[in-house]
Amino acid sequence: MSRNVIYTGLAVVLVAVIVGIYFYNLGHKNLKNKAPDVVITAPELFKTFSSDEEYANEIYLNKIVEVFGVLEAIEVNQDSTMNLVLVSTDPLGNVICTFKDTDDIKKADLEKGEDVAVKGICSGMLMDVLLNNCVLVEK
Amino acid sequence: MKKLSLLFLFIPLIITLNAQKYMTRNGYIGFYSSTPLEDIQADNHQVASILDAETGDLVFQVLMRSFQFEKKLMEEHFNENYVESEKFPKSSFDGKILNFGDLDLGKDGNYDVMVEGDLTIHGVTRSIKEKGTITISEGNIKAGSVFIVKPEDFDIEIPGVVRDKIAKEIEVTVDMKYDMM
Repeated sequence: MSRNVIYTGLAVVLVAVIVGIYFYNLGHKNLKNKAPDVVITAPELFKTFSSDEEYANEIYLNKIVEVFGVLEAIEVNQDSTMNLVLVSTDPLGNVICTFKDTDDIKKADLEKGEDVAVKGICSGMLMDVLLNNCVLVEK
Repeated sequence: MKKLSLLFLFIPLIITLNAQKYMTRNGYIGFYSSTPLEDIQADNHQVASILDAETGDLVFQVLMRSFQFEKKLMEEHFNENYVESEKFPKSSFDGKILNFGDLDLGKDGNYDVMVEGDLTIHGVTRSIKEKGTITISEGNIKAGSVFIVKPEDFDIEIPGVVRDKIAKEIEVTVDMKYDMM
């Protein structure tokens, strides 16, 4: 009887440790299958940030934002991540979407001036509004 | 006509003003914390920086949310518990290269520089003075530095449970490649 209790106790502790380690080591979620919190155009997103950054941070910071816009440039960063730059109507800044997984961009064969839709996590605004962990949204 | 001639008067001024500034929107800042229990590395490739090639003034801005960690949980703890990025989304440095006058931007080479200014993290501003390097090659300017930041100096509290996993001194790496504005 008491042996059974000990075994059960050990099993529970073991499971707890395994679950703990699993969650601790969890990588980043792919946004591909996640619904966006907000859907907005690139010019509108930039305008919200440039007119009232504090308010925009409250709405968009750390949210999954799906943004539509016209592609201005494709950039390759030092760490081989890639940026899709979407035009805002403001000459001072754009919306920059950074992709860790660049396979989709390479496959999509995008061109400047094309309409694109991107889903990413909003980090806020410096000169541009920045989205991270981005994925392309199928049209 | 008058307006037009006025415009021509200003064009050279605009050009020279522009030619003296260098900037990047995708510079790199990373940090590294090492303890016997765990090594933690975070990378940010979305750093904005402007270098004034006339005065040596140097400005950096980063979004705390743009730091990427290997593990999701680390990133969550970093943003929510330590640097409180909802409250303080940005960190910045505003200062200057002290010996900028010694540099010859027209000549390729590596220069050791001393940078001094105000570093703001977590809403706390501290004056810092650190060594760095400026590399000039074919008219392109790169800037780099490695220095130590102590979380406690910026009122960043690390709770007791994880204190042994996070170093008291965090190594910060800066790597910028500037474009002419």
